[in-house]
Amino acid sequence: MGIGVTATPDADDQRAIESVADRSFIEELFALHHGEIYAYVYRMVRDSELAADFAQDTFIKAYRHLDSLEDRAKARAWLYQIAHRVVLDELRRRRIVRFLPLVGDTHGGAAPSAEHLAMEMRLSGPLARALARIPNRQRAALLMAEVNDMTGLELAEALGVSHVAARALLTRARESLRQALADERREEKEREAALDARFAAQASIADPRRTTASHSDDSNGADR
Amino acid sequence: MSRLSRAARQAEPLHERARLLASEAIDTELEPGDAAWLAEHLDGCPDCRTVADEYRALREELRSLAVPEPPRDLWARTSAALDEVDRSAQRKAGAIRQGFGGWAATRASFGAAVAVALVVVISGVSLLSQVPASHAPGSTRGVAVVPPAPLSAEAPVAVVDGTGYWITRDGQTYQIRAGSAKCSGPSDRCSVSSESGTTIGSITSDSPVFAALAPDARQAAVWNGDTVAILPLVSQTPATVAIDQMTPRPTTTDSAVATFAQPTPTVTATPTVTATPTVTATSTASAAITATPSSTGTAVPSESPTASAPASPGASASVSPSPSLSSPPAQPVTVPTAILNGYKVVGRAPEFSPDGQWVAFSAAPTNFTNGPDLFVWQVGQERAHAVTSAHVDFFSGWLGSEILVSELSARPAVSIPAATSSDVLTPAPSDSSSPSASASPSAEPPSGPTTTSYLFDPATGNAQRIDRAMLLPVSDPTRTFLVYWSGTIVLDAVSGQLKAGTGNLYLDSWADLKIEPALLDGVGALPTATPTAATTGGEPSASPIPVATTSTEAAPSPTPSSVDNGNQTPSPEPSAAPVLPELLRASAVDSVENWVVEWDATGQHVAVWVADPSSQSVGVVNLFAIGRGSGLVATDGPLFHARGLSSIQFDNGRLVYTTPAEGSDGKTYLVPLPPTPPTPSPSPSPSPSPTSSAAEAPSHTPTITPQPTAPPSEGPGS
Repeated sequence: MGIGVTATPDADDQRAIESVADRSFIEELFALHHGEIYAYVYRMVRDSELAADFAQDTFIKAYRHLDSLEDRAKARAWLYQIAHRVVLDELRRRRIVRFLPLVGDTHGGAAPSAEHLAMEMRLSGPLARALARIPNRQRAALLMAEVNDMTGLELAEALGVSHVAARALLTRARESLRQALADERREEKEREAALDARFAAQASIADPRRTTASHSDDSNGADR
Repeated sequence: MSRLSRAARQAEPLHERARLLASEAIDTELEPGDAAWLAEHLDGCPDCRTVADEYRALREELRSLAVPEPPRDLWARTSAALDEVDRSAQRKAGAIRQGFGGWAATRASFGAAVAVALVVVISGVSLLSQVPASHAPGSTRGVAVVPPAPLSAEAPVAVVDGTGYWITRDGQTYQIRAGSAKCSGPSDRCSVSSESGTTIGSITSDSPVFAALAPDARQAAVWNGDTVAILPLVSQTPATVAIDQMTPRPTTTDSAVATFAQPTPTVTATPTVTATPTVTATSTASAAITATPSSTGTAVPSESPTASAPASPGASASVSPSPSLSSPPAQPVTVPTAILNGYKVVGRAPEFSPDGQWVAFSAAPTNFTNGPDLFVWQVGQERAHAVTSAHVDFFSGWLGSEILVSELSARPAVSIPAATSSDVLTPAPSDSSSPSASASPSAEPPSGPTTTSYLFDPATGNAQRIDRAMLLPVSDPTRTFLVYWSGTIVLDAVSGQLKAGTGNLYLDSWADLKIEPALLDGVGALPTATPTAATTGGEPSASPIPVATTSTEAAPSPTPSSVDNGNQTPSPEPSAAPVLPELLRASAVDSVENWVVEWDATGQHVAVWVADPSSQSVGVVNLFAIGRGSGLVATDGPLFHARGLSSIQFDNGRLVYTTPAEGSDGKTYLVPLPPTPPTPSPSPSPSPSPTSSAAEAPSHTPTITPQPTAPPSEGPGS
């Protein structure tokens, strides 16, 4: 930013003007793109609170690093690039889920109530679950291209790869999702069958003493 | 190698190329040569053709996903963060310039002020149409008013006998602090403040930390987005621990249990909590808990003297006269102990059992590969254990020594055998539009997603199914009434999730519920049945679709009500005797989607917080009086209402609520409950309530008498 001991009063004025212009530009970007950035991030993490955090982080990072945007006409792809990195960084760090403030407000802090988040609890459909199963980069490419309508060049820009590499990634993503969706649908049928059996068993139970506590394994939550 | 396999191997690259081109053809126009080759290949390769078709179908499916809406406050919070960036840059610049004399500094700050002012104007122009009206664009919130560090949470974790417990935050350090109430105004308007007090627990976390206090305030359950831990609370300067680095297992709890010699009343040993003689109501309530289980028809042993502790952390002093514990309770942990990692708490906040020996909560894997299950942890255990495995279960609250579990499943409910369903004591409403009409479990079983509730005893493993279409029931401690949400479950189109649609809160009587032994989550029967809430009809379509009705919401509510703001005209009241379930009118809006329910220890008052439609954190706090004898609720209007945060609770006969900082004073208030109503008179007046303001006493309701000593009032946040 050029701030330093050599600053002069004129330089201060110039900085103030630039600062206002930058702030104005970033707010314009927000107005134009916050919806799609949020949607992209949301679909990557499937958590509305996290998505809001990441969307906010995206614009803050953009503001801080506005100097790195060489061509403002490419601002959209640049924003996606930032959002992409924000998301992948967080997924890598396994800080996938910042604590939902679901219970925060129940006992301290302004946040959605527990019940609200209970309502929001994610019980995904096969497609959403299949999306969650494929590698993060593939999912990102697929979402950007298919859902968020990015052009090939924008996609390459956002992913930080060549055009050819982006297309190849997209193809791999489609194939991964196709197989994951098939797996999901097959497993869903199996679950339904198992659940039918469970409900049948439950309906027929008569002896309360047959009901026992389960201390089932709770280790199935490891992040992938 | 056979000729066939060699041929197949040679053909493999061709198939690969075909899939690559089929994929690229979706995004771009292929070169003529590639297009022709692909067409020819697909003609002769049914498998590749199928794949190509599936690629196109996938594209359509992906594009048909509805667009998730960003939260309304996204701009406000982003703007505030941008402001912080500006301030940071200004501070940095100012610090550098300080050595150059006053002129430069003055000039710089003037420039900064101009910049901020311009930002406000420009942002207002550029974003006014894009951001919610509730948040002023370019808000300078936080520019001029920066709360002093450590930042304080807005609402206390708990208020116990007037002692408030807060989590305060300073950077990534979270401290649990205890401070006394200060009665700054009239005696009925004490407010508690986090400004003073002592630190009794300290942890660091890179994500927000929340806490639930044990009844004796000697330990707390704390959690962030990935870990649930038990934190001992000490009066002397506690060591700071990093919750994210807690390993699953310290080794101390076992020894703590082993060295436990004689049971001692826990409360008296706690320096921050003083036993008071005012809690006899709690004690009697506790007695009622142990007395009633037999009415459920199950052999729940009365070994649970556990109920000697209060039902809510807000009334801890009730341990009192004769603990008469049949077995010594384990002592609190002595070092911070992670009891669950890799999971995120969802649903109602974790809560200690009334006896302080258990913590129950629902949690889902942090990556949401599954839905939530119910977890319990017992003092002395190393880990919390999942007691369900269907991934559709929510902790709904403690009821004595049992846990209310609420299941939201994509599967139809178990059909009730006809022979038993008729036994259900469903109120027989004379008014066909009564919500109870459709709430009868003997009605047609719903075909879509359903809600099922259970009572689960973690000590014995016994579970009972509660036969009522309801979500997240919250029972009063005496097991007489419960409040639950009922309405339409919808499939959220964004990601195929079940959630509440249109619905409302109802008061119901335990006596009207059929309770039968059940398997909670198929435990012991089908351990591998772990459905992830199968959807009912494939992928969701573009908009939320009501897929099931939990039934009480099926008919428009007939219950008259003066809404809390008093602006709505009451509808005619049914002339017949009131029936349960009754609508709890706690909001001006027709549908409740975001709420909190808390009962007081006596079961005579219930507080209901309902979020504003435009907010997830601010809403209306309502206090209702429940007529014990007749089962009537003053649904014509709350005794008290105020704008507040959802952190409602009771503390020794006082309602504790916190007003929002914006638009109010942001304080936590303790409002005395009206005295216990006398024996209810049996004859409700048939005349419609003329109440147009909640401030009027519900005189027509027989169970609630006017309380001249504590008139219904509006809080400062109203």
